[in-house]
Amino acid sequence: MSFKKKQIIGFGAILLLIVSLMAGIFYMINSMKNNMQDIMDDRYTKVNLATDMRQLFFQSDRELLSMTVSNDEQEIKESNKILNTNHTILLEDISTLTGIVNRQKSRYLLSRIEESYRSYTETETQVKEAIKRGDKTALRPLLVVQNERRTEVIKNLNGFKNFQESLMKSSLKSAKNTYQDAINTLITGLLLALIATAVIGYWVIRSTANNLRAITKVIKTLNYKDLSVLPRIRVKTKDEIGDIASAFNEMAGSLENYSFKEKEFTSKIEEQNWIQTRLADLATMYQRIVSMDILAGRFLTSLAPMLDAAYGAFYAKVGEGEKTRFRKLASFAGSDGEAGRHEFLPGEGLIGQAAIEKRAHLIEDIPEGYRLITSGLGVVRPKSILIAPVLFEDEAVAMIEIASLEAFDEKKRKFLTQALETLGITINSVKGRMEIERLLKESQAQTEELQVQSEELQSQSEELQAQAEEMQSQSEELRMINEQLAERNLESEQKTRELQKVKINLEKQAEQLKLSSRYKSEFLANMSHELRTPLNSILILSEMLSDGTEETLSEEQKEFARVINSSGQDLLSLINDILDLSKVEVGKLDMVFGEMNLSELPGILERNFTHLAKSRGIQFNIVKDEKTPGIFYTDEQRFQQIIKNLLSNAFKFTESGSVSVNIGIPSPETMKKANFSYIDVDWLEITVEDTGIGIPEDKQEIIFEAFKQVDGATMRKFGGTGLGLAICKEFAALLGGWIEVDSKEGKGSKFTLYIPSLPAGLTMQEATLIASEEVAAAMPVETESEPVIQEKDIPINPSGAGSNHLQNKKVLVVDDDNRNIFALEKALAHEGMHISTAHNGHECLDILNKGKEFDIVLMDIMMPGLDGYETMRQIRTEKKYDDLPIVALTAKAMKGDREKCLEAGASDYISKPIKMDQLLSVLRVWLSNPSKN
Amino acid sequence: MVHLINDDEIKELEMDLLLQAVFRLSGFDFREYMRSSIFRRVQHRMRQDGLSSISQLIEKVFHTEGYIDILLEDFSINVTEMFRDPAFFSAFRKKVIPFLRELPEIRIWHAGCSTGEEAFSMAILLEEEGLYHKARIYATDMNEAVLKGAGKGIIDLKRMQSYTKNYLQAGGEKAFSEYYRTDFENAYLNENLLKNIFFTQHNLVTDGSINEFHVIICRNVMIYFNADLQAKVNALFYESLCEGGFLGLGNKETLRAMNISEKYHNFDVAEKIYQKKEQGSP
Repeated sequence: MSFKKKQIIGFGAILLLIVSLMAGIFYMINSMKNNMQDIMDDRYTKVNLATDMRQLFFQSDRELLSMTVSNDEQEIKESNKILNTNHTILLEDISTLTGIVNRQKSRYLLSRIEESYRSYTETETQVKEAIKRGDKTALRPLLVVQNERRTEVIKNLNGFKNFQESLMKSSLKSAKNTYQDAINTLITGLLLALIATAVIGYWVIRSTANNLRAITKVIKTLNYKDLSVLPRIRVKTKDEIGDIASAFNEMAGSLENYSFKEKEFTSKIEEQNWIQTRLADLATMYQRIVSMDILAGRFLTSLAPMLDAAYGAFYAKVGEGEKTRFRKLASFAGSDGEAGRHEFLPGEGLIGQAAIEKRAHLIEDIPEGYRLITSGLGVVRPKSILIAPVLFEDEAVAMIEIASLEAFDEKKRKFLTQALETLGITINSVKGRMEIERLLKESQAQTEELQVQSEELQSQSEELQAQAEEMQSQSEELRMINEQLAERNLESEQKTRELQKVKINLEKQAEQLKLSSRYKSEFLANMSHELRTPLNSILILSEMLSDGTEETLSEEQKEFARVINSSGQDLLSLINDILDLSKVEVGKLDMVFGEMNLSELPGILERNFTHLAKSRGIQFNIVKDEKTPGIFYTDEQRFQQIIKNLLSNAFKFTESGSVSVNIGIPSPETMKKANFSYIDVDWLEITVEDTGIGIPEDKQEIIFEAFKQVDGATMRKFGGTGLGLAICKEFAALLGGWIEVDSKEGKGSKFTLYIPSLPAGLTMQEATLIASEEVAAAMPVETESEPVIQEKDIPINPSGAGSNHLQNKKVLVVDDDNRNIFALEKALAHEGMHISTAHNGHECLDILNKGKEFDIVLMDIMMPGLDGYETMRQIRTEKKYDDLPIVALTAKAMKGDREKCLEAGASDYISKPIKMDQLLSVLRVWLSNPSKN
Repeated sequence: MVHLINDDEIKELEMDLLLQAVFRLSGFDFREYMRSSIFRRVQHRMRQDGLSSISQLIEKVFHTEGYIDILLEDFSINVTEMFRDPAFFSAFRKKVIPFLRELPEIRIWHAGCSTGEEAFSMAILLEEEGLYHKARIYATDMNEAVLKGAGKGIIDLKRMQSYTKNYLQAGGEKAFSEYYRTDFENAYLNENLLKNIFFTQHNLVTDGSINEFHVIICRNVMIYFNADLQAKVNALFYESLCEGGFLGLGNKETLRAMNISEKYHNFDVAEKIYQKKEQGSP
């Protein structure tokens, strides 16, 4: 029976029980209700009627009695009336009762009542008649009879009533019984229903639970770790539980199956893993092996422990075709002498046979006297021997023989097969690698050989070139000798002419010299004699005064004395200088360059000239620009001498107004006039301005010449030697600078001194140059003036070697800064080069486009408009300028400049500020004919 | 009667004899030089002097005063440039210099320096990297004559254009012209570039290690040597390098011998810069 059916039946039965119980209860309640109705409707009415009848009877009786005793007619009538009424009612009641009484006994009792009542009524009537007649005597017996009859009626009525009451009581009793029955039935029914429910429930639960428990028990006993054998559920029922059981059994079956397969699989995988791990080990071992010997050795030493082999040998195939042999490359556990055969031919012996068959041989049945495995203690015979070929592209490239004290099982054989497969490939790749290595070495050797040859060639070509150059220089020499001979002729003619000129010049100069030396000697004689003597006494006396031995002198006076002394000293040194002036002109005056503290200068000047200014009522101002450097390198003595001279002059020629000194740095504009060598150093500009008499325009040129003043009158009026400015000018030049004058007659003069800061002093060469300049030009060099150095001057040649190949070379200078152009022009002209200039890129390209040819271009980078980079790029687009050297001039410390220059096509570059020496070196490099390497 | 051997074998034998003679007479051992190269030099000399066999040359070596010096001069090939193969110097500057920066003193050996141009280049490079003051450059060559010239730092003006190009390509940071002055024939390297370069005679074939160095540069020298001699010189260099030191070879050369190349890291494969492995490192 199915689980569902069981449930339906069980719960259906319980439901049915409940329904029947309910029906029973309902029925019993209904019958109880009927009983009560019966009692109420029937018995109660009958008893009531009987009681009423008895009541009425008693009433009638009483009335009758009262009638008998009463004398009142009215009363009698009244009683009579009541008696009649009662009689009617009684009769009615009897008839009613007769209608409803259904029992035999009741009817009998009722008839007796009727009977007794009738007899009573008869008596009554007689009584009534007796009364009516007033027959009291008749009354008495009648009353006795009537009393008897009344007792009879009452007796009957009571009997009826009692019967009816007894009937009612029995009815009540039966109702009570019915109720009790109902209660009993209900309890019994309920009990029965409960028992039935319990029984059914127990039956249903038990029948399912038992089966389920059986299943649970089985499932609980399952060992999940081992699914190979599983218990089955023994439930034979055909219900759902039965289904579960059979499904479980089915599942268990398939699990068992699965677990079996899994185990099978796992063992396969393990085997595979075992093989793979070892194969992987082998594969790792193969890496970086570059020779067959190493491969064979490592293979055997790796393989033997994997296979538990005790002995092994590795043979590799050598030679092709008929010469094919297998040579032993490595052995395992074999001592040198007895490690198997050294080599064998295909087909020779078992191993040779295996090589031909390309098939592995397993020998389990080791014949007597087979090779023995040697251990430390003794020798044993191997249990099995495996001979296997190593195949590559279906060809035995090597043979392996291994022997073991144990049998080679399936796994090991499988492993060996696979290992040999990869070994075949590895052998091939190792051979390939060896070949590559060999080829690489060969090609390396060839490369080096090539390099050697190329170097040899280079060295030979250099040799050849040297020889060619030698030849060339020899022929050059010959030609030169010829040319020189011709030249010498010309030269001698020229020289004769030049000599003539020189002679005339010399005569002129001699005359001038004679004149000036006459002045000088006169003057010097005056100086030394006339001035030194009084000066000496001034110096000595003023020194004594200032030393302060005399207490009568005030501090101020002592200060005056010091000034007198220092001025005297200055004067003395001036005199000495005058003596030196001649030396200056022949370049013999020594300058002492050193550090000078510029900040002290205003103080010194003030000390020297404030008194003078005060005494003359002239305003004296000293202004120092903040930008002037604190430390300046020059000859301090000469420098101060110049300033003092200029100031002395200013005070001398100023009668009223002011004298001012301005210490500052020159404007770039002014610097264009500077000697190119010192463009990059610090410069100082000192202006001494007065509101004095001024210098007429036409005389401004001569005031710097020695021994000259504006005119004799001035000299007389203001005194002075006329030497001051000349010395100033000479000194300024010797300090590397110059003096300018700007003056208007009657308004005042302005003298400006420009000097550079020169820590190292002037070079001899420059000093000489200055000296020569002195002769050439009395006035400061003007921007527009011709380069001072004449073309015929012999260029400076540092080592005197070689010929100046810069001479007559055409250089294009591209720079937007006139100052730079000027400096470069001056320097390059000095080297005998022909210079063209361009102020920007466009100008440069224009000049090149006009077809002018240049040997080299100097290119400034920072230019307005077309800059240096772009200009170079455009120049390089022209094929004919491929080899034109372009030297870029770049600003220093600009990162990336170098790369940009090279990228734009510069051949070389130098950074600013340009050092002339470096520029010339670069020019020499790029204007030399390069040797061809 | 002696069986006549073929021409090639005769030449081989003659060469053996010649080189043996040169070695015995001068102490210079060319026997382990590349035969092909030496043979070409010999042929060159024979052509120059109109000789028809090596034996005649041997005869002259023995009996002509000064002839061996001419021959030795022929054997010595002095090809060098400043910043030769600029990429090498560029790589050296970028990769090797950072290693040298921390050292208190840098010792560099230019083996086979010829006229010293590479040593000068190294000096300039170190100067620009601010390391020259603590560097000592040992420039050696077997040819004493070239060394004598090298010490002065004089370079033919005609070569300067190509050197300038090399310098710029090698990543020079300044103007090349800042390092030399010129007259109309030569360029003269600045004195202060020469002050830490020491030119010494040293023969790689016969002489041993001279110091322990941080850098050894030997470019296009070993190409003239046969494999055995190369291995010998490589062993010498290995021995003379400190741990982590650098070996620079010519761009056509490699460390061929396996046992040596395994002891170096391939520091820069293209520019043939090798770094000696520190002991205990793989």
